[in-house]
Amino acid sequence: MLTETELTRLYGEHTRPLYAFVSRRVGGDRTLAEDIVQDAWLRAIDSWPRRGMPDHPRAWLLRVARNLLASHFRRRRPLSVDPSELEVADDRVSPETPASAALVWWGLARLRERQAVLLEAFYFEGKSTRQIADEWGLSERAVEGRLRRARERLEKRLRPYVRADTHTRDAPEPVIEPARALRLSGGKNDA
Amino acid sequence: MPDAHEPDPRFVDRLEWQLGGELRRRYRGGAMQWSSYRALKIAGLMLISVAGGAAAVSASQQIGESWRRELLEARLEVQLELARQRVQMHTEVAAQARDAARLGVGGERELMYVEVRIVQAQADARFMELELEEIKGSGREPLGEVSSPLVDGRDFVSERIRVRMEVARHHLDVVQREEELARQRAEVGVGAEGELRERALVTAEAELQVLVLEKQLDVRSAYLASEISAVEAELRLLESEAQNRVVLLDLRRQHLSVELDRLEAAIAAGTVSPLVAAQMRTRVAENEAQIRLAQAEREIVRRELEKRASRQ
Repeated sequence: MLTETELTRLYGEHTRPLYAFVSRRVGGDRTLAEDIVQDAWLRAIDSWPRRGMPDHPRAWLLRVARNLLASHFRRRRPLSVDPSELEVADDRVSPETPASAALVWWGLARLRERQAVLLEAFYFEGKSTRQIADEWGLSERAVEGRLRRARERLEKRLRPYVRADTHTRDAPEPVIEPARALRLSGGKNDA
Repeated sequence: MPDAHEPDPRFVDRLEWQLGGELRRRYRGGAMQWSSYRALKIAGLMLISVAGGAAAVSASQQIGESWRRELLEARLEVQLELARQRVQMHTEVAAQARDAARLGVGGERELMYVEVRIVQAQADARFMELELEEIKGSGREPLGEVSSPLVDGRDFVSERIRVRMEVARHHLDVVQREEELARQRAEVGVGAEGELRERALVTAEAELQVLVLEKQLDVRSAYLASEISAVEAELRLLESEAQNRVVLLDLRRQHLSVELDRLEAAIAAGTVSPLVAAQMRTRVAENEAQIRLAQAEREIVRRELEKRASRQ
């Protein structure tokens, strides 16, 4: 039975990491991040007393939050974004604005779960191919191959929403060049 | 510069408050009630409250259309099947854990928590069986208020409270054993400082949970004996909950106060950052605010009860 004291302790321990996990994936959209965090916790207090505490509560919360995010973005059309919003300083996809986050997640939500999770691990969580290989029980070469295929698939998903004239101010919709902006064609983690 | 991915402290506080309330409401209303209410929402079968007591069950609470009743029953039957599977699974896990303990490779704590899961799973299954029986007997959604009517002379409300009581008592037993283990660790000097106090707090909360359920049974009994009205029954429960909350928060205040003293001594010795103590002071202040709110709730309910008593 989950008591209030235990809930308070778990809440204090896991809420900030959970929020940061969600916030990074929604480009810092506070309203959306708060909704997802709230929903994940409500599901926890619905599930944990009935089904027992998970062995790793934080992993449970992150998994639920991830599914909620995927579900949220699966239902939405991708937002048009200014290319500069996805100009990331390093080789990681870490959407800096809610609009760019929506675009990235819209694409990820349409990939196979394992591909999306792989891209997330590499880009959002900053894991190296070696770390992923260790965690997934694969060789580094296999991870690199999977990453390449996942990137290609994401790019393909986003392509219909991308215009070639990336700097046309009068274009009816803002445009984005995904391969460049999202560094889909390669990154420093690529061997 | 603040981290863009840090939550707003006001959101963190508000959500903590909301979750505490949801958890209390959940235990008060019944473990399975929440999910079945959700199922009902999906089916478009919203309920309205039983304002007038046992005799005033609204027609809107009746599952008039047979397909809706069948849908609700089908959902519960599937949930019940899953719950029985969980009982089976936890029972098998427990058998393995006992074997491991016999061979000296499993700990007492592990076994203890495996048993908790069995008790919880059995209670869930029993709870659902009762809900199904109530639907079949009454043709409506199971009701969990202490002022809900009997169904063909059968008191499903008390039966469900007793199921929760079994879980609560087992949980109390477990946390008492945990406290005892923490005490033993403290005596030999291997326990973390504050762990024993934290454990005592958890035990106190588990004891209060049992008391809350006992109170529910008492109030239910008084209501069925026509000693009190439906409204009075609900008010008495609210009063009891607020009172228990005051007691628990006061215990937490004592715990936090000791922790704060310890931290301030550590800061004076230069082993802890002052920031840690500042965070603890914030928790103390939050706890104080919660105590004031619980006291205010208790007073409001008591005044209402007194007003009603003076009218009689």
